[in-house]
Amino acid sequence: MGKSASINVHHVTRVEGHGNIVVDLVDGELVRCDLEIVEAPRFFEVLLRGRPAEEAPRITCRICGICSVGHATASIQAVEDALGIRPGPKTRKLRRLNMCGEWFQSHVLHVAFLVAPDAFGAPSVIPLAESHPGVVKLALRLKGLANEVCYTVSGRHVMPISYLPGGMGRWPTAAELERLHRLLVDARADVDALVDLFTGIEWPELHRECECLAALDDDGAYPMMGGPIHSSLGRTWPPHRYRDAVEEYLVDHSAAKHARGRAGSIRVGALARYRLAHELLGWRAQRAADALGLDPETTNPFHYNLAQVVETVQAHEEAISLVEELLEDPAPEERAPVTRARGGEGFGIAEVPRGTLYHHYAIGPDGRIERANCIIPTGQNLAAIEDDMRVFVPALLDLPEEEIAHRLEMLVRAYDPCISCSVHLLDVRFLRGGRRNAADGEGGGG
Amino acid sequence: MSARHRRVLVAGIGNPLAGDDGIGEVVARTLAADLLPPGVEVRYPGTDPLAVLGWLGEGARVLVIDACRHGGMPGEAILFRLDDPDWRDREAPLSLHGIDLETAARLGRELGVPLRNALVLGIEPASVEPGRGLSRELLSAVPRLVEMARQATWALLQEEDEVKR
Repeated sequence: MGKSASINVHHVTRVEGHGNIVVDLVDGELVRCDLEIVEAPRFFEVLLRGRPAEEAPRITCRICGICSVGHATASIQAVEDALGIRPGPKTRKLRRLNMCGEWFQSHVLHVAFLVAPDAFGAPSVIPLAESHPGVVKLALRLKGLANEVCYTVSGRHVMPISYLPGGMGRWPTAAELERLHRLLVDARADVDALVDLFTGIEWPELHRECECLAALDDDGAYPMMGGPIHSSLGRTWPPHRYRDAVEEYLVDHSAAKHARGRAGSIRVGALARYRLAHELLGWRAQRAADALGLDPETTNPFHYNLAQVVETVQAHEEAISLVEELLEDPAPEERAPVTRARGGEGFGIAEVPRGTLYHHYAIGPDGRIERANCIIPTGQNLAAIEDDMRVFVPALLDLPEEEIAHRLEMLVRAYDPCISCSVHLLDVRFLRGGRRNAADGEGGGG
Repeated sequence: MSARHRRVLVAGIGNPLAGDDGIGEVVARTLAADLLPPGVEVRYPGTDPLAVLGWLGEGARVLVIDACRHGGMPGEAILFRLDDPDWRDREAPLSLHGIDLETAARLGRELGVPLRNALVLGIEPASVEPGRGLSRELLSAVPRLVEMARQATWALLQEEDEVKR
């Protein structure tokens, strides 16, 4: 008779939001392995209905404090696509600079605050601050720098409300850009230190081939601002055919929709981008990947953490370049005109820190949003996380249940899920023969 | 201009899309609409209390305005120092964000951040369910809360003046 496992870990910490992991192992057979998202859906698409289209970025950026620039970016792109607006080159650069700030902020927060405790044997960032204060101070400095990028671009550290159809409502002065440039250049040693921190760390062995998706920029830059959707299986779709690339579906155990590609579960986010576009990284980021030992063909989801460090370097260097380009002509750019005033359908795609974010709006002739559809990266990764767990758990059976639960938490954290966006913490619950222990309680997070 | 050159930052924390969690931003924005004394700047760090640690580390004094379950009636506010050892023991989590203000303060304490230089105006929410706008209880409390924020800002400015003297 094989092993039966019943482990119950409430509130898997260090992820954004609330959810449960439920594992049912009976006589060595994995009966159930689910990632439950138990929060009430936020229905932000409904919030958009009937609102003037230009308000959409200001509403959607409030969905989440961590992904706010990404939502604003995909949202404004959908509005501009529907209204036939093509923003000018400086506007596009300023928006990309803000995305660099958000990538930098989000990735630093994830790897240094949420993952580093695992790597350095601390239960959370508070004891880590006691045992490794230098790590946490480094992270706070880098995060502060990321805040400055977003503050310079949009006047706010998060949740930018300066995105307007065809342009930006705030334009940084030359003095503000010069100050930001100094801060960014001075931080190179800190960014290198972050790479050193994660060099040589051993990650759990888990290899599972999975389709990777990312929207590659039209201009050959590292994927960030959206474009055709590329698959590691060799297919490509234009943005308006996103539903051919990603199919959402409902599952009983999750308030968040799951998603699949043409061959089952899919991965999006830093690891998928790295796999599909590693050759587009700048030399410093490629050097970091080399130092970290990150193989472009890796199928180990724990390497999401390494890909995020590489993308931190990329976002930092890109930010420096973009500020330099903006300083060549820092005067504000005129807003681009509307060319399709009757409205229509618009598609906005952004590669946000956790993956590909889709916003799809139908805008009526009165300029108001009639329908909206948003597909969130975390929802796209949920099925892949469950498939990973199904492969991972049988390899862990010789470990104490507490250690199995810890490894599963690490796996979920590697994807850096933002459950707040997909519908909010994680409980890990092992069942024994389909029965929850009395000690399990009702569970369900917040 | 770096925060270290300013004296007092007023930080309206929260998410206006989450009901009364937006009260921090509303109070800060209303305060900013008035003529503020030189050396006072209003910031909107969204749902990121960690930003406060950075500003304190740069030498600023900070007034944090945030929704906070302290056990009072909706709209009731408490004012306390971020280094106050008692507030961690309150029944409910103090803040409503992923990395909450309490965790940020514990982190700051470990790292030697001068938490005493921050005052927190914690406002009891009625509802933080996703939706738009403040509850009736908090809407009616805004003028009183803005006045409390104004007085707290002046208190921080006076502390700064005393240190410089």
